[in-house]
Amino acid sequence: MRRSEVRGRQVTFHVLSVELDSALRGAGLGLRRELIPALSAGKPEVISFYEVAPENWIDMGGAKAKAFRALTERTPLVCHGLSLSLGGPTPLDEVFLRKLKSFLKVHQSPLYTEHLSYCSDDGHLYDLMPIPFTAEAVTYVAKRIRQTQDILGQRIAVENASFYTGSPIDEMSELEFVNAVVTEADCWLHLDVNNVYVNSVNHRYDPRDFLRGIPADRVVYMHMAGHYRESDDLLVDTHGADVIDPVWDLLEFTYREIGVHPTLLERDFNIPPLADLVTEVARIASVQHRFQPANSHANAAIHS
Amino acid sequence: MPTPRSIPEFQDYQRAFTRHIRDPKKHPRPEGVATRRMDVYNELLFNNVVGQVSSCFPVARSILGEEVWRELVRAFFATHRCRSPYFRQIPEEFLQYMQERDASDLEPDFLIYLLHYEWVELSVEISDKEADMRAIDPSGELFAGQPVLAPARMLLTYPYAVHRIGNDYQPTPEQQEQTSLLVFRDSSDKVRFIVMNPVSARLIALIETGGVSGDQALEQIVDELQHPNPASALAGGRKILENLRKEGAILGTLRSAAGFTG
Repeated sequence: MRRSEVRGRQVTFHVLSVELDSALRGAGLGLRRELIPALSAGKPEVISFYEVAPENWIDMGGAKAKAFRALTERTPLVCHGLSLSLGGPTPLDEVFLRKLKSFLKVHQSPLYTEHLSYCSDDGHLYDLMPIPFTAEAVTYVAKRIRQTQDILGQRIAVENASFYTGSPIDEMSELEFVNAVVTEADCWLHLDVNNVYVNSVNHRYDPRDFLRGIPADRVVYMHMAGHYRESDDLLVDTHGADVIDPVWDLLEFTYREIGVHPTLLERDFNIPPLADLVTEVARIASVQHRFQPANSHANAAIHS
Repeated sequence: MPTPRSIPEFQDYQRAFTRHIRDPKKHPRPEGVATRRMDVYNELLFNNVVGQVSSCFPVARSILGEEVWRELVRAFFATHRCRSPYFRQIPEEFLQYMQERDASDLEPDFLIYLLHYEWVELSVEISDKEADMRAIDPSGELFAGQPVLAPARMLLTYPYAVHRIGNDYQPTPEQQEQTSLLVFRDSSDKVRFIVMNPVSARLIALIETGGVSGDQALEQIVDELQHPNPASALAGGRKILENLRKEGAILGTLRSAAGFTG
């Protein structure tokens, strides 16, 4: 009985991964409210998908919601969550998860991802904080990811989060923590290339070593973004500037080492005209083409 | 033999981390965390919440001034526990905190009503209530037909004329002026308000209960008022009805069941 249940779940995941592969490819753009008028007037061809924080649109009505719905009817939508607090101390919000599940269905969203971090104590704090890298935390977070996957009925991806301080009680490195969690949770990895760069500067490691240590077969999705340079040894992941050259270099390295996956440009502050963002999205697409001939499968790894 | 820990060690540390972020003056930075790195979190999290709250309450913020405003938001951040996972409901969490706390004598008496009114505008703007326009005849006859109200709306009564409060009009408790407002989202999704008189407020309330024609609602009001000249009162009421449609608060009339094609 138990065995067949497990097998049934694997079949479901496999089918979803095939759908993910066909529904999601190329380069995408974070769908900010400010961009909706320009995108409603006409989507540049290079944008293959959008991404939103589902928290910003669940239960939303009015003019903005109508325009949003019109956009997602024509273009695939990835959901990248903000508030689930996978590493938080209170039970997962199941009411929210059920709303999320129907939101994913309504918008036929092929992928939901969340941050490998926490954003609450006994109340929401609305920003991301670093989970201490301990064995107890691995078990705890992996269990919550599994619980999320059970409620949603689909596999999710977790994102390597940017962070600004290690915890004095850390028992392992960030890389060991990420690997342990995705293995124990049996989930996908959403690899944020800018976060690897930001963390490598903030915590003094070689980003290429980090990327070589990532479980490539679990990566299904990537992010690119700009950040704010507070000082030589402190970068803040603001998504408020253009992507810098060292991060473009790192994207090429990532595609070479890990493979080409659907990749999104995030821009949340100082939002320039759409045309400027499209230039960066087009650059992602052109790097993808260089590392992957047009007809091969983007997500070959997840079928194995 | 050590007693088993009920809370894992990493969660103890997380609690210390968030306690400090919420109220750095009261709770020290967790041991072993560098000040400069901790400050990144202190600033990012508080500024985010200040921004989310401030965007909803521009008038209250301007009246109180930046320093007092930030102190209020800091007290909210330090002591209130937000339940909502949705960023857009942070203003509602703030309003709830302000309603539950003991007001300071230094704040204007109207503050809580002004905050409520500013929140209502946002709340109506993003409400998920949508009209089913297939069931509504926009040019339907309002007196014999059943008027349909814009579904994203709130009918509210305040002790102050909250819609006029600003830097130039800050009423004292002696200047209270009971004010009923209908705040609604019209068919082009713009948020608007109409100042109500007792008759129009009662009319909206009767239409809300449903199943009445415009004239039936008006006749009931004329009855309730024991108006000496029912005919002229009804005529006045009909003008109110037409005006509510002109302003966009009434979308039209309910189409008759026979008119449905499915």
